[in-house]
Amino acid sequence: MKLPSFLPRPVQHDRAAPTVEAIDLTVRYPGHVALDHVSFRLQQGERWAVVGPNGAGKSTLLKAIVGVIPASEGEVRVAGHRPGGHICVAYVPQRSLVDWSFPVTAADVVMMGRAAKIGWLRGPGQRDHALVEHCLRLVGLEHLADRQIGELSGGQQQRMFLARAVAQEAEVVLMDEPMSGLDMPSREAIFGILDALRSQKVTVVVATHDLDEAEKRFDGVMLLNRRLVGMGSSTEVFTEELLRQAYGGQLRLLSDHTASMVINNACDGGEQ
Amino acid sequence: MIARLVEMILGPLQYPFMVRGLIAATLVGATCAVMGSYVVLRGLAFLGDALAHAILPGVALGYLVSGGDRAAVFVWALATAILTSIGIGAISERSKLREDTAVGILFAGMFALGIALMSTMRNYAVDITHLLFGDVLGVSAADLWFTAAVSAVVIILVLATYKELLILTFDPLLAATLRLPTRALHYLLLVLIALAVVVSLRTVGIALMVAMLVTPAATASLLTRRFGRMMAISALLGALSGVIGLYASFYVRVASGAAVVLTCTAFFVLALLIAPERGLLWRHRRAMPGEANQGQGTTL
Repeated sequence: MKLPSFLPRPVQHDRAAPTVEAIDLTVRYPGHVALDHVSFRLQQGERWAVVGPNGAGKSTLLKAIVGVIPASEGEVRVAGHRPGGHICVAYVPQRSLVDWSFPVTAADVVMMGRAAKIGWLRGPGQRDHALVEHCLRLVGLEHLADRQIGELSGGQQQRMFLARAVAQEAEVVLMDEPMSGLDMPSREAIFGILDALRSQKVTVVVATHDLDEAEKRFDGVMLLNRRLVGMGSSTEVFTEELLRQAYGGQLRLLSDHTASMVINNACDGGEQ
Repeated sequence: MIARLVEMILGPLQYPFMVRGLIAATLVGATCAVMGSYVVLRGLAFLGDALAHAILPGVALGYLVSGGDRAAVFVWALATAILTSIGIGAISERSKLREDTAVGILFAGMFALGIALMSTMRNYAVDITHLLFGDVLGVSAADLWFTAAVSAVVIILVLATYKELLILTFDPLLAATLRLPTRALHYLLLVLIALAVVVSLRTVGIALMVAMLVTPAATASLLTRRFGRMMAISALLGALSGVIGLYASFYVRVASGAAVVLTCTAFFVLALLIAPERGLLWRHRRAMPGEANQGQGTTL
């Protein structure tokens, strides 16, 4: 069935344009500025960490990229167009913001990623079911497909959302604090999946509190505190000066080596 | 013994008003319970209650304008419900007050307006009682057709937008990133709830309406962990409660609306006690020493 004309259609990608581009992106909420003239370009297949203190605008940045929070000034472009026209950007929510008692199974949630491709007034076809199965296998959850989502462990829940992003045929995947509360093996499993996504040329942006992980497991780091304090490789960005600009008084240096820096806000609380 | 049971079931069916009442209660129970699944999962119980109360002035105006013509009153109720649901949607989008405060102000004001209008009428006491507490045994053949038509519209629209409404309910952010028309879907959901409220006006009345929306769906949520099944079980329980409640009201001589709601509530309490995995008795049994490892290995 063809989409009725009043519904937004997915736009054609401009392959010459950067995968994600922010130009003077500014987001204001009543009473405060969440993002202040942020500009950057991300290329296909890159994996970026977004770090910064609580309230730095990490979640806002991700939501602006996916196009669910409008820019007050400036703009975001995904493959050359405004994000609102794309269905290829996937957003993985913070685990604490999901209703895990909701009566759906892991396979149901992954199938939700197919909704836009399936189209209106239709149920999933054989191809969709096969794809969902494939995505669950990709993240190692095929044996838990029929589990209610609350019965999955934290790591399994994150992997389920990654499977949903793959089912959505996402080319950009945004993850909000995916590692918080997860043990090492769960984190490793997720990075394994992110490696697989990289080989598919999927661009990944992860908001995180863990500077050590940001340094070791990503192509580059965006240091955010409402404005983009620094962006580049971790050696360029994790300097005392830039970290002090971003974290201010919350920063305590134990030695001059970045890996042993202690940031005084280890809590994983949400921000708007 | 069995003959006596059959006699008890078939006996009331010789009265046409009882047959019409049973059909209406079945339709309404199922329709409300289907919409109730969304109400329960999205936490819209207060909003459903508000909708039920806010249609009173429409009903009252219908009475005044038409002199009590059933069809006219129904159409007025329908129009008011749709307008109110859209109004409530707009409030929750734009209000500077907290949403529940704004909805509370609107619905109490509308309800008061309805009572004021009704109180100008001669049969005020009788009519307001029927509206508040239902009058399912007074359902006419024409009422039945309206009820069936509106119920059919609700069910067809729910089936047509099933996967979109499910996504909106579970993860509104995903709905937005898939570029589904989230606002339109939200308003559709509100209008569908409003339609369910209107058809149940005659069965359980305004005061008990929220029970038809919430209780069967809440019961179903204890019995299954799949959304589709929850909806189906909820509809079944809603319809069954309508039938059982009506028989109970026939034999025990209690108000029909109250009997239907009490049946819903009884099902809920039963499920709360014996639901597999989640029921209180089940947990108690699990907690007993020596049986701790007998559960089917679900971890929560």
